[in-house]
Formats: sequence, structure tokens, C-alpha cells
Amino acid sequence: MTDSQIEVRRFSYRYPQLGSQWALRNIEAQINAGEYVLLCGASGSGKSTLVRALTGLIPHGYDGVIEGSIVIDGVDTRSRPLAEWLMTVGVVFQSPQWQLFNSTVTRELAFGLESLGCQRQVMRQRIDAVAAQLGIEHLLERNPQQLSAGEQLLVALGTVLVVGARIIVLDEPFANLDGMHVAQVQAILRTLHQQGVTIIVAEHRLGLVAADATRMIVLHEGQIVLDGRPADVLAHDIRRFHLEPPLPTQIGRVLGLDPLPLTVEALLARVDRRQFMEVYQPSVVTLQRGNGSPLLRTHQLTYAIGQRQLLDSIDLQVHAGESVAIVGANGAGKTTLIKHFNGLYRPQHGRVNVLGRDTRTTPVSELARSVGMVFQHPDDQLFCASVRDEVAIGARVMGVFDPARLRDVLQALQLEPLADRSPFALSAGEKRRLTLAAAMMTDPPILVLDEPTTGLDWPARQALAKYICEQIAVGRTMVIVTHDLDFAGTVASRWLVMAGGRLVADGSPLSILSDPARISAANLLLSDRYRLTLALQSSDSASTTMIRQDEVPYAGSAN
Amino acid sequence: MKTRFIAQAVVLIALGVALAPFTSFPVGIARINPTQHFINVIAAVLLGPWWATGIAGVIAVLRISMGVGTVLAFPGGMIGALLAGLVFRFTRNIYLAALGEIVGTGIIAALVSGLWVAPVFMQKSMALSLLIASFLGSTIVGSAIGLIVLKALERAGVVRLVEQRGSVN
Amino acid sequence: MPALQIDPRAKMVIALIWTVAMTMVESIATLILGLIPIIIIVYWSKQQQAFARWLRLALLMIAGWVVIAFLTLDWRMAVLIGLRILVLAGIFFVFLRTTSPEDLGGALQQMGVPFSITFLLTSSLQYVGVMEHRIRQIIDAQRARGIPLEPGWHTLRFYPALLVPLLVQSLMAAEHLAAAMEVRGFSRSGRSQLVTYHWRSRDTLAVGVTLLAALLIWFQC
Ligand SMILES: Nc1ncnc2c1ncn2[C@@H]1O[C@H](COP(=O)(O)OP(=O)(O)OP(=O)(O)O)[C@@H](O)[C@H]1O
Ligand SMILES: Nc1ncnc2c1ncn2[C@@H]1O[C@H](COP(=O)(O)OP(=O)(O)OP(=O)(O)O)[C@@H](O)[C@H]1O
Ligand SMILES: [Mg+2]
Ligand SMILES: [Mg+2]
Repeated sequence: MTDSQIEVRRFSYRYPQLGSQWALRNIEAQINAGEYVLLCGASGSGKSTLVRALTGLIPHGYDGVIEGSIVIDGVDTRSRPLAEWLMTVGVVFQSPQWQLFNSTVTRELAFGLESLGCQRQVMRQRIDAVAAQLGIEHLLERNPQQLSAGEQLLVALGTVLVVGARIIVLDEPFANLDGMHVAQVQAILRTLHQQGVTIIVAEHRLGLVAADATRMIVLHEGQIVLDGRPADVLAHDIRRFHLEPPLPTQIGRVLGLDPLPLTVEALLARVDRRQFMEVYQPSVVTLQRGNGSPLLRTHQLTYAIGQRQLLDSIDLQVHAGESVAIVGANGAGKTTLIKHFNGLYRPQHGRVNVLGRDTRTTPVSELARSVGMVFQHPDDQLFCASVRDEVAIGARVMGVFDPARLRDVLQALQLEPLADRSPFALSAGEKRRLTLAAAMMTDPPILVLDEPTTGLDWPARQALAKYICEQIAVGRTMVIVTHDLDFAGTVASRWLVMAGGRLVADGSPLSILSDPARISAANLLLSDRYRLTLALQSSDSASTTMIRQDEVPYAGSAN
Repeated sequence: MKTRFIAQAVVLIALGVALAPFTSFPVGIARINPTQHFINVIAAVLLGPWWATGIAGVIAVLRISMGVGTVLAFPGGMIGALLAGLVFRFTRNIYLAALGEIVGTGIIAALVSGLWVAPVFMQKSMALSLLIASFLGSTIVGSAIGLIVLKALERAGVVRLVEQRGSVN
Repeated sequence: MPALQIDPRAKMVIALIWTVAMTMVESIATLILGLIPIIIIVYWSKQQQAFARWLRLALLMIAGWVVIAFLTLDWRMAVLIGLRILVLAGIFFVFLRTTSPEDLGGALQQMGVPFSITFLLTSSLQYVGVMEHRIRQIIDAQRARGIPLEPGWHTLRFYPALLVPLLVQSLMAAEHLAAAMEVRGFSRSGRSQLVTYHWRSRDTLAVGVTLLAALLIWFQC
């Protein structure tokens, strides 16, 4: 018997519905107390499945076939009932919303302690202590469902800490957080790590965790393909496993730095600007105002629900052939704004004009033909038996169905091989393409996408960016809502920044990002790419260069 | 695991309460609201008679406490759920389950409600048939929607209806 | 919501006694008498607005019954039936309006009702808002591609476009919820309660008064 805290021994697992396909295959890992593990892999690589296995949900909550074993603190996960695990392993799942089921944060934190049968004073003490530790005292009497995504994540973390778990597993904790909460959660995890808690984070945006982690495990198609210190693992070509290496390591590899820098700061400390410029020919991104007429115009657009002002005097114009990104933190009002573009919401004050028509007097079904809209969750619209029907149904109902168009659209989005499958059986990336196809059926002059990168891994994101750029090239007007600035920078040269229901900036990405006050007001999460660009820019203010996503050269794994 | 049933019950209850305002159909001056009966059929098939009855009961409690329901929601929802669940348990047939819901609500619940507020109702067949007719509208629409949706879910491979105990993926 | 300072269990017993009493009586005068405490409680707990809204809804339903009774029986029966439904519905309105489902669940749990049942009462309410939000999103997503989902008969045939995505997501959500409950020790035995309820003498008094009133009514009839 070794003394590692978690021992995964040749563990394989198969979901009952998946036939002979293994979700996890021959997983072999020892994790010691106090390690901080980054568990990464593309979508469908088995991260969440491994999280379930480590927390005992597999085998206790899921049927299916298991081989091998997982031993935690010397006890096999199979021999201890699930309900006994909570003091050993705490877990924060992918969707915080569905793990908070009490009426107040206090009761939420108390739930685990109640399960343990704690005395009331003990509960109060522990709840207060954890609330102070996480800085959520002011939320204790709030309803968890009415908190922001970041606050919900902190509460979910609290429910784990309050019972004193020594192993904490988090499944994509940063998925929906704004800039401030990302930094806050990173800091909390660092502190817990210093206190000796074992931390396992599943995440595919490596840059957020790699610098803090002591170990990085790469999953690919259910198997561990790389395992080691982050800097060592990143020295391999992980693009093969559909993962995007953090930008500083990409550059570090090209420059042949050893050990690889994991953060922008570490990179800049070791490379001077001139050396840097030798490696890159950063292109100058200029603002490309569409030359066409304004297709879409809002005038003093205001919208409130009850006392809450969701949109406050928005004035904007989108010209024909332009590609515009609407960026902003959670709850800034982005979705509320775009729902005005096809008449789903009618302005309470002000006007919205689309292709010369006033949305107050034009029915949604008519606007829907000129404004294609794809919302954040593909699952919100899937209901047909096959992909083909799902793509066609909107056009059929509107009476503009054209079989030739259907063929073209399916082909353009590579959905032909899937056309007869059930839409529910698709992967996240395929579902996204399906909803895009459905919106393209009417060949709308304006295409609006709401958070199109949600749930997509790196290759799927690349494919989406490529498709959007193609559409821009053929002259389609694009409006893309996102809080992912890297993506916004790739697909749009003009940004509209929203914060608290107001439009706080309108201009080229760089002009917006070079104003720190605006960034912090809008609570944006600055990606490595922009932090690097800004750092370079401040050392030479004359140049306005910008590194675009597709321009970082990448050396093969040989060096 | 039993927890999964409880979680599904929680979700169906929330669904039943939240969906009601969105599915209200005008019939003359009155309105019918098939949501409860739709949930009954779904719950009866997916979770069985006892859970289905409990779900209907809790939906009634929540709707009353929110001021959008009255006490007649108890007989009007729970009886159909129980009958649909029992029928499905013994026949494994979703059409018969829906019929169970229609009979349970449209006839038995109408009788029970009538008996409760005025036993004299029972002596007038005319009164009874009017009462039954007024209960039948919602439950027929609701059960029909329930059937269509169950079939769609099955076609999409989301639920399996023929399997033993109606287990859900 | 300002609640009456009475134990939820006492309120439940009172509501039941009152319901039974009001089911038994056959006189219009007594039913009106039974209505008075409801109005008093509504004012006392400052629920006038909610009550007015609820009353509009309840009267619509009661009207149906009254019309049927009037057509097939006589006007006296019609009034009696209308009043009885109003009183019975009113009792449950004030009971559940002054007792949050959470308190009801907590009190029942303390009485020994299995946690898996009381949990339905305490936690379902949290997800009503979440579900409403999802429903709105689905309706918007479908309307944005031309599928009409406004309320009314003419959209009935498109209801699967709302209900199928909704149920698929609900079943997935239930999966997440079940996992979250389980890892937080939901099915452990020996659970304690952060919030407990105490039966005080005023609760006994309130139940006693109600019982006495019910008995009086009983002997009157
Ligand atoms: N509850 C389930 N039932 C059946 N199959 C499942 C279930 N959950 C996951 N799978 C399948 O198991 C495989 C691994 O999925 P998993 O959710 O672990 O991936 P992941 O790495 O977490 O992906 P993502 O980044 O998209 O969350 C996939 O093929 C997926 O379809
Ligand atoms: N129907 C509604 N009722 C009440 N509040 C609402 C409603 N719709 C939106 N809100 C609130 O309005 C704010 C803005 O919502 P919106 O969805 O437009 O934000 P967003 O910028 O799209 O954010 P996200 O990144 O979370 O999607 C949020 O705080 C949200 O809670
Ligand atoms: Mg996952
Ligand atoms: Mg949004």
C-alpha cells in the first residue's frame, strides 16, 4: 500500500447507453495529498466522467461497466456508500445552478452539515467561518438562484469547504465567470492549495489554471496521454489532443525557452521586446466600418422589467457587411439587446429599425426571415426526430422552404453525414453547427449569434470562427455576442462594450482595451493575447500592433 | 438510485408550476389549463403512481401558496395522476395511462369534488354531466399533449418507454 | 411575507379542523361566519393585494360551479355551493400564504415525515424561477426561427417545440441535481436541522379555540 491519497488503478468505465465505447480506458494515476491537478482534454475526452468516478458517483449513481478500481484514503470507492464520501471528497459540478437547491445561502451551506447530523451551534460556526473565508457574508440571506454565476460558484465551493473535505474536485469552474470572479476563484484555489487541500480542476482553457497547478493530466478519448508538471506537459504538442496551449508557452516554445513560461508576466520577464518582434509579424488591425447603409439602427432604446433597467438609452448602428461583436460581463444586457433586433422584445422607449422596418410594427415571424438568430443554448430549440427536419422546420413553418437551400446549408456546415441522426445525440460542436444551419435556411442578410462559443472546445471554436469569417467575406452582416475577447477579436473588428445595461464603448478592440478604466468598468476578462499586446504597446506606444489568434507560429514537438 | 427519482420529481414540480401561465387556452369566457394533466401523464409514465400523485399534490400546494390555485387542485390533479400511474404500471401502455388520467380527472375527480362541496349534486345527473364536461376539457388536451411529447422523446431517444419500470437516461 | 407567529404544524391542524367543519355545515349563515376569520387573517398578515388577485381567479372558477348548480338545482343551493368553495379555498389560501412551503416541509420533517417527501416541498420552489427563465428562452429561440409559440389555440400544434426541449433539459437537470444532492449526503441517515420549530402554548390555544368553534358549529347543525 502506497501513501498516495488517490490511487486510480487501471480504471475503465463505460456508460450503459454507449454500447461498447469506453468513456474512460485504463486510467492509471496516483495523486498525493496537497497536489493541485489540472485535468484537461477536449470536449468528450472524459473529464466529467473522471470527476464522477473520483467522487464515487460512478459506480454508486451510474450503472455501466467498470474495470479496475479507485482507492481514496485507502478505501475503495465501491465499498463505501456514496453518502459517506462527503467529508473526504467535495465536488463542484459543471452547472452551479443545479447544485444549489435551498432558499438561502445559509441553508445551502448548512445542508451538508445537516446530513452529517451536526449540532446547531457547530453549524452556525462553520457557516460563518466559511462565509468569511470566501467573502460571501453579504450573500448569506440571499436566494442562491438569484445570484450571479460567479457568486453561485463561490457558494457551491462553500458547500464543499463547510464539511471540511480535504479533496476538492471542480468541473469547469471558470466556464461562465466574469473577469473579477475568475481572479477571485483563482486566488481562493491558490490559498486552499497552500493550506494543503488537494485540488483537481477539470478545464480546457489551460491558461487559467496551468500557472497555479503542480501537475497537469491530459485526457484524450478516455485515456491519459500526458501527465506531469505543467511546464513539462506543455513542452509536448498538445494541439494533437485538441487543446490550445496558453499563448505564453506557445511563444516560449518558439523562442526555445526552458522552462516554458506559463504566464504573460513570466514571458515578459525573460524576453525583451526586440527579440520578441523577431519572432512575430503582428498585423495591424484597423477598424473597418461597413461602407454600406445602416441595416440595423437603435435610437434611445430603453427596456426595463419592473424596477430594473436592463437597457438604458442604447444608440447604435450596424452597417451592411460589417461584423460587430457585442462584449460585456454576465448580466450586462447583451442578450436583452439582441432580442430587440428581431422583435422578440419591443422597445419600451426609443426605436429599433431593421432593414428600414420598425420592430414595433413588424411581426417576429417576418423579421425572422431577415435576421437569423442563434441563441446560447442549442438545446433550447432541438425537438425534431432528425437533424434534417430540425434544420428545415423553421423555413417550412414560415412557408419559405427550399430543398436545394437545405442541401447547400447542410453541406456548408458539414452536417450531411449527420442528417438522419437524432439531434439530441450530437456533440456540443455539432449542435452548434445545427443551430447555425437552421438560422441560415432563410439566407438572412443579418446573422446574430449569442455566445456561440459556449461549451465548445478549441477545434470546434476554430471551425466556428472560420465559418463566421467566410460569411463576413461573402458580405453577410454579423453581430456576435460574447464575453470571450479572444473570439471577439478574431471575428470582429468593431466592438460594442456593454456594462450595466449601457453601451460604454464603441470602437476597435485595441482602442477599447488600451483604456484600463473601461476594462475594469465593464468587468471583462482580459485574455493572455491582449495582456501581451497591451504590455508590448506600453513599452512602445507608437505602434498599435495586435497579435491575432491565427498568427502565432508553432514549432513541431521535435524541439 | 432513489435520489434520481426525487430529483426528477423536484424538476417536474417546478415545471408544472412554471409552465401553467404559458399554456392557458380560452374556452368561451373560461380558460382551461392542461399543464397539470400533461405533467401527470409524464410523471405517471416516468416515475410511477406514487411519485406522480405526490408531484400533483406538491404542485397544488405551491400554486395555492403563490395565489394562483385553489383547493380543488388537490382532487383535480392527484386522482388522475394516481390512476394514470397505476394503469401504466400494470399495462406498460402510454395510451392507456393517458386514458387513466382522463378517467381519473374527468370523471372520478369531478365526482369527488362534487361530493365534497355538495352531496346533493350526486342526485342530479344533469349537474353531474355538466361538471364532468367542465373537468374533461383540460385533461383531454393535457393528456394528448403528454402523449405527443412522450412519443417525441422516445423517437429522439431521450426516454425509453418499453423498458422495464420506464427508466430514464 | 409577514407570517402569523404560529407553528406551521398548528396551522396545518387548524386548517384541517376548519375544512372538516366547513364541509359539514349546511347553512349559508354559518358559511359566512366561516369566511370572517379568513378576511381577518388576510388583513392581519397584510395579504390584501395577493388576496384580491387570488379572489379574481377563484371567483371565475366558482362562477362555473354556481352556474351549474343554478341551472340544475335551485338558487339557494347555488349560493351555498359557491360560498362553500370560497371558504374551503380561502382556508387553504390563508394557510399556505402565511406558511412558506419551506416552513411546512421543515415542520413536517421535524414530525418525522420522511426527508425525501419534505424535500420536494422545500426545494421545488427554488426551481420555479429557473424553469420560467428556461421556458422564456425556449419560446424566444423558437420564435426567432419562425415557429409561433404565443399562447392560444392556433399554436397548439407547435407545443412540442416548447415541451420537448423543456423536458429534455429538465431530465438532464434532474441528473445534475441528483448528483449534487447525493454528494452532499442527501441519503445519509441521522440528519439534523438548522432551523427547528417550537410548539408553544399559543399554538395549543389556537388549536383549542378552533376545535371549540368547530364543535359549536357541529352542535348547532
Ligand atoms: N450521463 C451520460 N450518459 C451517457 N454517456 C455519457 C454521459 N456523460 C458523458 N457521456 C459520454 O461519455 C464521453 C465522455 O464525456 P464527458 O462528459 O466525460 O466529457 P468531458 O471531457 O467532460 O467533455 P466536456 O468538455 O464537453 O464537458 C462522451 O462521449 C459522452 O458522450
Ligand atoms: N425576464 C427577465 N426578468 C427579470 N430579469 C431579467 C429578465 N431577463 C433578463 N433579466 C436580467 O437582466 C440582466 C441582463 O440580462 P441579459 O441576459 O441581457 O445579460 P447578458 O449580458 O446576456 O448576460 P449573460 O452573459 O449572462 O448572458 C440580468 O441580470 C438578468 O438577470
Ligand atoms: Mg464535462
Ligand atoms: Mg446572454
